[in-house]
Amino acid sequence: MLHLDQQAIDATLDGNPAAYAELVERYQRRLLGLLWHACSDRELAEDIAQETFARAFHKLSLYSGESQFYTWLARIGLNLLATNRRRKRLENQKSREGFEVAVESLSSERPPDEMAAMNETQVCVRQAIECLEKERRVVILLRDFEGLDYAEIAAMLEIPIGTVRSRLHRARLELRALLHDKAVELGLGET
Amino acid sequence: MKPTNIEYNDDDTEYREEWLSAYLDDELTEEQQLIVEQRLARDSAAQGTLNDLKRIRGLVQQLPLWSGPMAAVPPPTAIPTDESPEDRPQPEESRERIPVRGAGASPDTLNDDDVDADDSFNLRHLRAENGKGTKRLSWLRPAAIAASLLLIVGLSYGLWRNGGLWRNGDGGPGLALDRLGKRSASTQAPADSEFIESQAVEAELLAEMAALPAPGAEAAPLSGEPESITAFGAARSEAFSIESDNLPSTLADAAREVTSDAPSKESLNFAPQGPALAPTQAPAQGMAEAPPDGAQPLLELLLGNDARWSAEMIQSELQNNAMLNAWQTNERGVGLGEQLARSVNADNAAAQAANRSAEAGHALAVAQIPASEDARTLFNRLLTDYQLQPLTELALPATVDAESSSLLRGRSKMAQAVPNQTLILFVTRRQAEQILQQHAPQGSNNKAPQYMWITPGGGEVAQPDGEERVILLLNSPR
Repeated sequence: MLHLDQQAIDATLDGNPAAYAELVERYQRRLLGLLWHACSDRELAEDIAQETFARAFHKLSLYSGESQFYTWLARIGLNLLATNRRRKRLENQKSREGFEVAVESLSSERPPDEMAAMNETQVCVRQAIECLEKERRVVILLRDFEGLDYAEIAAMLEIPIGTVRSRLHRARLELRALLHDKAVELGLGET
Repeated sequence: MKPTNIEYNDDDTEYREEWLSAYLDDELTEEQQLIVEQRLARDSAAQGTLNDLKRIRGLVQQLPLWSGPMAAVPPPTAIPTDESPEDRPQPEESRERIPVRGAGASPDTLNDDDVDADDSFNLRHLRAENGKGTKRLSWLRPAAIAASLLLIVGLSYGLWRNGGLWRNGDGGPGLALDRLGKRSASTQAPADSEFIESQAVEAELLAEMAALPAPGAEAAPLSGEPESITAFGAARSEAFSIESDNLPSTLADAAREVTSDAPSKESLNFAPQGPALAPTQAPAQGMAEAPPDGAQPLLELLLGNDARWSAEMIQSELQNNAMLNAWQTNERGVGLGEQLARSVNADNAAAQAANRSAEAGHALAVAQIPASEDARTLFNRLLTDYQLQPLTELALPATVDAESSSLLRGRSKMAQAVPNQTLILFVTRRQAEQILQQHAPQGSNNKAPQYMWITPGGGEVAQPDGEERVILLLNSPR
């Protein structure tokens, strides 16, 4: 995969932008999944994913190859998501004008089929993950959903490995507590 | 394989509960792993926690992958670099993989092993999930691109004809840019015929406007300084003339052809004091004082480029300004700010120039003639409080006369013109928040287009939270 990625990157940089489509096709679903669970908003995840691929395209020459291309991509996406969150937080500090409130409420409504696509357990887990604080949510998704190792997560988030380890552990414990009501159904013993 | 190269900077000899998660993920050193196993052997609570952690991990792993159509499409087909592949460091050919302890990963879970071991992993998933796999994506992408282009063209045309989203029928943002051919690449090719037709209509209106009595008859020039008007015209000419020379078949040319009989700028009373000024000669006047030496002309500020302009361009610009002012009197400062935002977002060099200007703390005042004392006071106060450098004064002509307004309303559903003053400040985001909290009506902070900030793209250096450079638009008190 690394070799294929590098081939596509080289081809893109050599003047064949169509080669970038390979990378998009290879990673868009994975990236969308990560962003979706990280922000709990399909539309936002799509927007951020699009922006991520666009940013990555224009910054492709800066990709050093020291990490996996996807890791680099996910980092861009998570940074964009964080920027989006910060912007929204600032906006939410102030009252909204009617039009904007209406538009925002429409755009933030979760599509009905989003939840329907998940079983009850997945819905519970997703809701619990939404309750985690942002830093813990990102770490647990990168580890358990994405399968990145601690070193990769640390590099991506620019935090020490020890911080990854403690955030991940707390995130899992917090999830366990949040899922307390479903403990039996989910096979959780200790709470 | 054990991650023997991991350094945790903590005591390896004392058990810590968080090691349980790391143990589960096989992210402990051998010594730490031994300590955990000894603990698990004698501590049933720790064993229970480990089981729960394993179960929690499995639940997260079973979260659904993305399903449904792909919205992500490849970006525009431009070559992103001039760097050769040989110049770039090559990736590692292989990478140490961390196996997962305990129950295996869910089949739906993407992890490093999957990705590295099987090049077609994602494609297999696509086929499994939608039954059509890559074929679906292969037609979806061009379809999405085509739909995006159609949407852009439609929106552009609609905005052009209907006057934009924000204002009640005023001219939309960036109109002057469009008139001079500085359209974005995304709108340039597909709808030229429609756009040019639209432009021709606007150019006709421009010609009619040019034949009308000069606006500003009721209002005196700002402090008896007619140069400020020229400065505005010069600055605007600088700002929007960049690409015109290189675009012989643009809409601007179409507009010029239609308006070739329009009166000169002198007859429009926009620049009554002699010949137009070259960029370097344009008087850069702060509302309070002259700018410091070395203040950048607006063109450099906005576009970071060399301007070559001619009398023709000046005339064209001033004519366009007449049009712009007539159309955007209601929120003219906002319109200008939007144009500025479009410039800095559409052009990386412009964005970098804007960021440089932000670093320097430049400030612009966009004031209608006559500027109110409140506007002057506020501007001067902000200059002092935030140590901003007054760059230049952009003085706009006064209200549109009744006949012009009537004409505009009849042709373009324009609202009655309302004078205002807008300040454009290059500050940090934190400063922008402070300023808006103090000077914007409650509830309008960064919501209404008159009270908002714009973050230019293109900044190469990430700024700490709150220190991001922004362009603040602030409608000053009347």
